[in-house]
Amino acid sequence: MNEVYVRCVFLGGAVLALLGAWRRPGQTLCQLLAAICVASGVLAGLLFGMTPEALLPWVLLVFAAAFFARRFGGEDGDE
Amino acid sequence: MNFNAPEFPVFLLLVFIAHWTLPHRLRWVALLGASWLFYGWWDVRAGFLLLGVTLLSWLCAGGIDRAERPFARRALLALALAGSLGCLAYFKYAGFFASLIGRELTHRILLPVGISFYTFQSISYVVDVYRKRISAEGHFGYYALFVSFFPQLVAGPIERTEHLLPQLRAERTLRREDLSQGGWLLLEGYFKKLVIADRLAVYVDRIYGAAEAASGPEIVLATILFGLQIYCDFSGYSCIARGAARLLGIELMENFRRPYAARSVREFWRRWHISLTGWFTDYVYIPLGGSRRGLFRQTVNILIVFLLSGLWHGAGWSFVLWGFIHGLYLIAGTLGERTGRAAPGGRLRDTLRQIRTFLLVSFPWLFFRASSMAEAGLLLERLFTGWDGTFAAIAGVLPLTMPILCLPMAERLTEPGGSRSPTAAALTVFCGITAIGVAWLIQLAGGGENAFIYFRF
Repeated sequence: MNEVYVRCVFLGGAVLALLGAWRRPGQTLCQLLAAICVASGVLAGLLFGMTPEALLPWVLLVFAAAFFARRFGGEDGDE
Repeated sequence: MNFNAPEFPVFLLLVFIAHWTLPHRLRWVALLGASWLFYGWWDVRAGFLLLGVTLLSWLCAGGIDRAERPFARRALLALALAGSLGCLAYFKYAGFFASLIGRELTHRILLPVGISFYTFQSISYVVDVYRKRISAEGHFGYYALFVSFFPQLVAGPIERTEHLLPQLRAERTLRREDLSQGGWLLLEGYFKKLVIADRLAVYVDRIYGAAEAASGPEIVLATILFGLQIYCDFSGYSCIARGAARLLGIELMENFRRPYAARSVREFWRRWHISLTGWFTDYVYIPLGGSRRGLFRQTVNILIVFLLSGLWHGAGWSFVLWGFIHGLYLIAGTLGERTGRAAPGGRLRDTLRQIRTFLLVSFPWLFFRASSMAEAGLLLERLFTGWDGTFAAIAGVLPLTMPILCLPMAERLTEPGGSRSPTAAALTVFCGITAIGVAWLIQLAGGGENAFIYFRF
């Protein structure tokens, strides 16, 4: 159950990173929350006994989403 | 000192601070001291060899520059070449040459890290002075720094005098662009090495470490993955080297340009280990006559270059065979160009050519990775006979797909004009660093650092 929670956190981070790709209000907030999701996901995963090998693919997933945001995102839409 | 050792970031930070706080006239002292410290960290004795090669090449080049008689110039050139190549032959190939005549060495010879790289770099300097392309460097300190500049000392790129030496001499100021580009290069390099190459190594080492039990599909996969592993390992190193140099205001040459996107083996060698290909072209292929003395002579020259290239990579017949196969590919391509029409373009055709080139280049990696000809033979035998329904082993590769899929993205990190949003860039950096941190944890948990593959050459 704990591992499911951790994976949900990473998935949420990936979704937030993707949401942050588009020029819209709250873009910066989305990206900040995505970063928090990565950090908390790694910490929680290690605390719950997940191995780094198990965490790595999820971190890479968020990295890929963040990269997509950087590559194709517009200018910061926050007002 | 390894780039992926915990002490390297501390070392780099200290060098960065010292470099930019010292006045220009003292910077070469700090950089030279740091470079010798970096090299001496491996083994102090190897540092004396580096100093010896540096001194010999500097003195000979100075003499060549001052000498007027052709005999004296040739004699000094021969002395420099004999000294540098002699060191390389002794420390790297003594065992191999002994085995050729059925003998074994009675003592163990330490192989100094990076000897293949700095001897080639010093040879290029002496030859360029002899050819009067450049003047000899009068300042020993700057020349020694050129040979031993720590980012590129142990695994290249093999720099040319006219590209690197003026940069080392020039007075530089810290620019935001250098910090930014240097940072991205370091991120890309560590990502490729720690997150991709070292993960692939686990699977590859497992298969190649038990060749007699490996199945055909496993050998195919492991060989293909080794091709990706060595690319990420070596290009990752080159990125770290370029990133570290860029933080000091120095631009090292690009050593890889997406080689697996090549549409022919000839194009592959223009994109893979560019500095070594250029070195062999300028100092072996062209002096032998290149393509100027007829088709037969050209094919012989190509074969000589690739046999030497294979031998440069390692003192073993499996490396020579690797080079030989690539030589055959180049010869076939040359003959094809001369006898056939120009191939039509088009996206589909280009993709098929890329796949074909990737497969052609992947096959000889089997010999490169094998520890001996006997092991290579065993792997080949298993490759053709071990297809007895062990496809379940392929499932072991699935966890590796994510790092591999991240490779094209990691490479685009340093493309110009990438970042449009600073916050998105920061997020990418954060996630990239986290991925590297997790991968480093995995590596340390496995017991120690994985050395860069090209440190052996």
